[in-house]
Amino acid sequence: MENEQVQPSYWNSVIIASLLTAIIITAFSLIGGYMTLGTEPSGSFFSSAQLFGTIGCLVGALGGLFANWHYVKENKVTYKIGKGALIGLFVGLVATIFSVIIGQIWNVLDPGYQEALIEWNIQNLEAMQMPAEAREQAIAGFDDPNSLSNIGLQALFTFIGLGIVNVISGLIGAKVFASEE
Amino acid sequence: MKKLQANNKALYYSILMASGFLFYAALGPGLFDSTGSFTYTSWQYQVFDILCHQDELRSFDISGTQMAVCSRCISIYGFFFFGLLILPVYVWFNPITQKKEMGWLIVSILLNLIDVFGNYFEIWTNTHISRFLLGGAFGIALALFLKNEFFTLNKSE
Repeated sequence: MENEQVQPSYWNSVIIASLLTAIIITAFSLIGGYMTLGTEPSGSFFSSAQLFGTIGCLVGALGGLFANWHYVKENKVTYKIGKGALIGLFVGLVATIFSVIIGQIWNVLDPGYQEALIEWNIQNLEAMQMPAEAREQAIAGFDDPNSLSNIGLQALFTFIGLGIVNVISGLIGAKVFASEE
Repeated sequence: MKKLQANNKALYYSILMASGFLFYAALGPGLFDSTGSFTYTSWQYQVFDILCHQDELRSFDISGTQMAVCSRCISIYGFFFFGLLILPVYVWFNPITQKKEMGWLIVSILLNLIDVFGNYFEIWTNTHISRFLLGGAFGIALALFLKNEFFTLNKSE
């Protein structure tokens, strides 16, 4: 039976799932980024490298599911799906923080990476069939990715996406692994 | 007489709002802009940057502007939201077993995987419509899988 008072903390599971999620997201995103840099700008939004990044992130969306599975497996507990959703939300939040930290560490290891990626994107935009005004507007949108406001904004966007999908995967995880039925 | 009972109300409305927001954002910047705005730097595009490949050739557009996600993903988000909306009605007519919904969920996941890998290995070429239908099957199966967590049907004298 569920007893919230005596249930062990889920933070271990949240941190493990978040760390895994962040590593997968960042690793696949970096691999996708370097693959992009290895190609010629073709004027397309999409490259096969992006597909590679997306596979990693789809796995990352399962963080809530993994955290619930781990929590149940380690502690042999049952609980309601609301708690599973909360665990998923925390996974989305902590994974966002970890991915920002890992990204910043990578910027120290390879300081030219972000700049090269922006340069590639600008060349890609220039190769696109689009009005000059829209192109200029888009190029102006590539601010310094390492400025505090841009890091914060990017983290917010990542959290919105990762947070909501991990809440849903957390719900499913709680229903599958932690159901009292 | 049958009476529908709502459980976890706050959670249901939270998930409903969150999935509605996700669907709204996934429709992209073209929703209220008929001039064909530039998707790449929009907030909607950036929210889904890590969740979808956002291939313009595999995405629908609104008012000439590419949606923020591909045709499969827009269908997943849309039908998940729709499934949550119709959940009370669905429970009214299908109150008891959940094995059926579990089966649908597994089948929809398998069908999507088969479709993705069949296309990847060039066994066939999927289309906007096939991706949309299969994504939708997964989205709605996911929502219906949660039915007894949010609604139950009680029979009273």
